Amino acid sequence: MTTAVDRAGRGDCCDDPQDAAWGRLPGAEPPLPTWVPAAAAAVVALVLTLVIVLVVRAPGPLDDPDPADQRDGLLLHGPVLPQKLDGVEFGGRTVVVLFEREDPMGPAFETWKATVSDDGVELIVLVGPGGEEVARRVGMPTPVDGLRPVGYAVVDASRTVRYATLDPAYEKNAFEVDVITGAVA
Amino acid sequence: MSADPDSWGKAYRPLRPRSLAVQLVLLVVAEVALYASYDVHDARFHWATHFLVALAYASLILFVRLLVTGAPGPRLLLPAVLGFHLFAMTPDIVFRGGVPHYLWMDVFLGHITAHEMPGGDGSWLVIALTCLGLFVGALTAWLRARHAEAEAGMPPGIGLTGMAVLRPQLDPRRAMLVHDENDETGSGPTVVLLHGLGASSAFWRPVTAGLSAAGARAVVPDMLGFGASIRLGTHFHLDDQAAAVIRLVERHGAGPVVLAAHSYGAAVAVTVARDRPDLVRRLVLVAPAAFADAEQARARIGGRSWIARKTMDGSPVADLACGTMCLLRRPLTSLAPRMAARVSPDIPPDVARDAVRYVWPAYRDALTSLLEDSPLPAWLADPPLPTTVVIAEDDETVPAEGLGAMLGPRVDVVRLPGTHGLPLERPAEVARAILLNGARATPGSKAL
Repeated sequence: MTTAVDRAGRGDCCDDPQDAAWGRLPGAEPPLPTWVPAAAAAVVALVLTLVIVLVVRAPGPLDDPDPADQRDGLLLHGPVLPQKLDGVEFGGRTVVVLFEREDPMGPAFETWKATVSDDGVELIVLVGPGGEEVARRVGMPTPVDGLRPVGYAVVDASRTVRYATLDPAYEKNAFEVDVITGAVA
Repeated sequence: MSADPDSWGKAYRPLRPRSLAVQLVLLVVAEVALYASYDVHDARFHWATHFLVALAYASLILFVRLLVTGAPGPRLLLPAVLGFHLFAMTPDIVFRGGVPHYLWMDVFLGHITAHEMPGGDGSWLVIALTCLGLFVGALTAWLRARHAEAEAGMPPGIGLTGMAVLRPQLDPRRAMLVHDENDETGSGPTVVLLHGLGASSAFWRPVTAGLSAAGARAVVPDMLGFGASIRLGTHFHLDDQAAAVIRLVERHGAGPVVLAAHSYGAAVAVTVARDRPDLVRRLVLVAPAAFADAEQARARIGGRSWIARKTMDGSPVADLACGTMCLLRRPLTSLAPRMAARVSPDIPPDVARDAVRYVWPAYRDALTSLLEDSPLPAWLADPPLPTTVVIAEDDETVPAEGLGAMLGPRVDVVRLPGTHGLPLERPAEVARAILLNGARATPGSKAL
């Protein structure tokens, strides 16, 4: 027995006189030319690259050097603070400690303050060199410029640090603080 | 060649330009809205991360889906990206509802740890574009293959997986079925032997040795989509298979041939004899897959194989399982002979290898044809051409009693001890049955 006389693609059966009559079957042609997906992908790549370059800015001087650690929304089970630290009393209620470089003021801050400090949450604002020990103990990150952090920490009623983040635009994000304090209450 | 334009239309629907344009507008508008919702809270980089992660996942899944099903989908391609994006940002949505983040929320496409990627969104951009490139590359090759098939006047190979996703199938009107052929030029007849389901010409090799010894010329094709003819054809219904066999017989120009066939191949052989009786001298049907009705076929074949049962039920599980098997065909073909050697040492290695060497639609259409349009019952009741049926007495797929009851008085019957794999078990006796040369056996008798 000899084998494999004809191999697919190398057959010699192409002389059927009916071949000429075999045209394309209606509807058999794909609706998209072959080049379209590649062209579309090239446009997507270009647009996305531009968007990412324009949209995703490098961390500013007040931001966390690692953007992933800033406002990650992830509850901590951090260290337990002493009852009194840098003159701030912890325990018995949820405390939000706001770290600022200058005294916050203005209607935006007042709105933020009103939102944050409802539901029995106490807001402590630490400005200037007084709160360095609190910042260290709650694990406030150091911003890109290496100076005092601007952001906040949340300490629950049992004095456990539950959240600490830099947020130079905190006035825009009162609802985030509310979610965290609501979850630890 | 049979064709089903409705199924092409369904497969092509995700690629309709107008639909894609509408989807694109929807996607862009939705993404701009989502971007704005993050921007309000100075969280633009979160939008970027989750969008890029979603794009990467969506592209990978669309890529795998194309490889497994042999057709692009789902119907709404671009909103799939939006769906993945919404899934990825679910923790942010529930955060707005008052639920903080937890580590388990990584189930939402790595919502928590995606931000830890070294290089940040730049890295995600590279990953997303790489995944998109994979999908687009496969889709481009798929389109090119289907365009080439359409240009050749073939129905498009929708649902063909394995390498057929990337390269066009060959036109069986222009490329011959791959076949074995002995070099006998003796006085014996020309015998064309057709294999059954999930088999190839290798199945007949033990028998062809006996035919050669008797001076018969044997031509043994791998049918469309099976064995070495795996690249031939895009549709595999009975008339497609029969047309390819007719071309093979015509090409050999040996006058009327003895057409021998096993199991499913018997349905093809009868179709050939019905369409071109001038080409067939005699039919020899070995354990023909003949059933009284579709229910009996479903029970008999489905009872022997889980995948066959699922296929006959039209279950998408069968599509998925078989599409995946086709993707893994190369390792499976090298694994099958080794596994067969352990489980059933009597099965020749090339038969075991070719048991997994077929395209899924060829298998599916063969099964479907046995259920829906098998010409066997009518033929066996009253064959217009001389027909011999070889019955395997211990056949569990086509039981001897049931088959015997279907045979009309004009059918010659040969009964042999053995199971459905009779040509492998008793090749010499089967060869002798094929070469009866008109000596009629009595229905119900043991001729050999």
